[in-house]
Amino acid sequence: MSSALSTSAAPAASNAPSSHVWEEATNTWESAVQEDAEGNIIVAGQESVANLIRHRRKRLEQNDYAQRNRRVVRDMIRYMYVLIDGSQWMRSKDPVLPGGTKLEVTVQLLHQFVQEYYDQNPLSHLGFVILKNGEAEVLTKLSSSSKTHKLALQTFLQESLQEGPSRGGVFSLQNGLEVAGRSLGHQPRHGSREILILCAALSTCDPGHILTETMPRLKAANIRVSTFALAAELHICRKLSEETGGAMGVCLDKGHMRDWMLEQCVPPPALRREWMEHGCEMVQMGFPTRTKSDIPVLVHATKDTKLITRTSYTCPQCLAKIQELPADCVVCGLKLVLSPHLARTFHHLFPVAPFSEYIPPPTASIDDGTNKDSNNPQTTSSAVAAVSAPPALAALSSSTAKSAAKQQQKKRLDSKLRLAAPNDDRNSCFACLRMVGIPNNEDGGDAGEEELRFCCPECRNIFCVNCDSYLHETLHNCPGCLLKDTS
Amino acid sequence: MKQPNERSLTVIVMDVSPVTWGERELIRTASDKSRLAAGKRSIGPARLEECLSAVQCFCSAASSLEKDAVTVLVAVAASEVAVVYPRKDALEDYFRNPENKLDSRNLQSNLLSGVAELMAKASAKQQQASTTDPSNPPPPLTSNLAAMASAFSTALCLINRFLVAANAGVSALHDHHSWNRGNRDDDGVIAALGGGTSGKKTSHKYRVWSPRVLLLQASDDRPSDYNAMMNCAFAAVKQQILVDACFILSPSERASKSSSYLEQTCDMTGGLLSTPSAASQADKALTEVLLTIFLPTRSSRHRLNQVAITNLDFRARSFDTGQIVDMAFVCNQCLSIFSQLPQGRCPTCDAEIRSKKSKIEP
Repeated sequence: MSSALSTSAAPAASNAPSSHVWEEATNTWESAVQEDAEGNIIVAGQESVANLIRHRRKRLEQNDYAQRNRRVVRDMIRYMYVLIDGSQWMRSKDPVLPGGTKLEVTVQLLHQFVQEYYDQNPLSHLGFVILKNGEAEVLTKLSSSSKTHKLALQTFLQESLQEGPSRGGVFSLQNGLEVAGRSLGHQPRHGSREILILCAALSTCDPGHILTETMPRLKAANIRVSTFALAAELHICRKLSEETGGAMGVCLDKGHMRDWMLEQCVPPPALRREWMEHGCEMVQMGFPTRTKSDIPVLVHATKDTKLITRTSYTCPQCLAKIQELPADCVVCGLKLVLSPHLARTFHHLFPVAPFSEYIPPPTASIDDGTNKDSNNPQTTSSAVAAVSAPPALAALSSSTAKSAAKQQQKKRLDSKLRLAAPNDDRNSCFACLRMVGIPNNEDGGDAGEEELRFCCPECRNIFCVNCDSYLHETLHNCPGCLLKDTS
Repeated sequence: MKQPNERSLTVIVMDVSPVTWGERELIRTASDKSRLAAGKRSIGPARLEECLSAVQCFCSAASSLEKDAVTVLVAVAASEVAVVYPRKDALEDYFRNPENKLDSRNLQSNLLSGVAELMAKASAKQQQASTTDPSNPPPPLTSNLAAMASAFSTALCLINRFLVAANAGVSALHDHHSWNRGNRDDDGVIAALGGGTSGKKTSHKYRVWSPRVLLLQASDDRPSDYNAMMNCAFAAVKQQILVDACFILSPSERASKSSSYLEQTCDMTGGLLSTPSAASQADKALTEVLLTIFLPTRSSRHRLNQVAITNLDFRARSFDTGQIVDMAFVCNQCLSIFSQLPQGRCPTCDAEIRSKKSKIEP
């Protein structure tokens, strides 16, 4: 089906360069809805899974604010405030964000965000500010503990749910920026200062003028402001983000919101300003040892609470015991970290290069005769070449040849070991041995994912689509490149 | 506790580097000759055949313990890594019809033929590197060490493939299932009063597999693999994969006594590390070690009295003196650690060190 679509769309697009996506769309009634053999309607205009994946990758690449696949100078130590809109605008439901009111969906996502943020930036601090009833109040101060944040978010959500849908008041952007900015200004210079605004409001009630009063102060303090709008883009937010060097996003759907938020967890490239010298700063840190004593001892858990427990970390400067790292020592203020925490951020310094899609060159030895004769074992090699030819050929051959070719595909994965030889077979993923490179067959849908193959630019190995996401998002290692010894 | 439909997925990563095992073979034959003459049993380090037969025993024991368990074997020989059992076609068939179990009888033939092929390829590569083109610099001594990080990454990708098939792993199109992945952190609130090691109960609500990795390493750690091993360990922690390790010691004085990468990995993921001495590797003793220490699954481990890793040193080494430090200066751009405050420029990233300015109020 998709091959028929592509052949009909090709002439239309080649007539004149279209500047809008809707001009290229071929979702007409005839092509979108088709009937199958029994007369049931099947919706055939949906994108195949392979194209969906391609679009998502392209979108991630174009909007890569954090340039996550390039080696740039980054701020590893971050102080970030998240401003949550708690006003009336958030209490309505949105069809684009299923699962409750916008506030519920946002808080649910923030749980994941907190987890991911501390995972990617263990040395950083996070704080939350709620904007409600025209006021800004700090929900949690800047701290390194994810539990406090999660508990606070939960209680906030419970309270708002009990209040009902008509409460919430107006949204005040300037108050939020002032509160967050004042607190960030007291933080040490070696970290990057950031504010992230999540708002669904379309208007703001401020005591003064943001552009003339607040913005110069934000710029002077090197605070970066990023905004994510759940309803529509506000000009003031766009202006703030551009002037301070942050990012601006508008919600398309739930997946897009999640992607955008998790992208903010990656440490952004360091800003270069004229009045700031380029350079680094040496931060003094302590490396405590973990001690298990036989008797429970007094241990500091947070600034205010203390526990009695056995396992604790001892600060090397003041010998106070802290329960959980990374943290600032409660008594002497020294930053305490463990070496795995530092190692966790190394993958930002040495990222995996983005994989490019592997399109096999069309082989010259294709003739239709071998397609039908696929049961002959002597023609196995040319049949293999035929199967990996562009999908247009599959549309031309008859249906019996297609099913025979599919059988040939099943036999194609041999029982040899998958070694890292560049001339080895290109049809199984190097990491998980999945079969890849099957052109789209007439069932469409689920099998479309296996069509994509991705190739690492350094070691030239082929990976399937799931391994590609896994390697880039979670693992940050390419198994092919690690074979070489670089010590 | 064990969920009703939980199946264990074990990936065993074996180090079969030819140079390492060859050295041990020499030590073993030399020591055996003298000991047999004196009528005593062997105390030598394990031979490769003994190690492989121990792994086979472990796999058959695991499959008799749990009928639905899935085992995958990955072998690494110097710079070559390959999935030895099951082969590509068997794995595809398994995913097409998950009712068919992976055949454990094939295991022996696949294992032996796969390891043989891998070792032949690795030795051929090394010979080629040393004989061709004398103008090239000779390969570093560390090229004989196994690429454990690459094998570990392959093992994690394989586990991810199984998890994706059960709608739980990291896949290319994150659908709404991924919003609700169980967060271990919520359990931590209730467990604040306990020690640091309890509270390993994980929520298996959204997963049917209970994955684990067993690393059998005979060579020393490769120095360039530190970042990669740490990345693998963090990914394993994130997906709640248990990582056990067995470091097969060699009695020679040049070899290291333990692997610090394996220690940190096992501690972070909550697994077990065992370093059997040379005497407890001879004859069938290695089988006994594997079966008694590593066989119990994650859900039964908290009832057992197990070997704990003590004295794990998490402190870092400073880059300028190489000593382990308690307090140090860390560059905020390249995260390198110095015990003395460097003047002028940072030695690693060559960025100028900013002098402390007064804080700017907004």
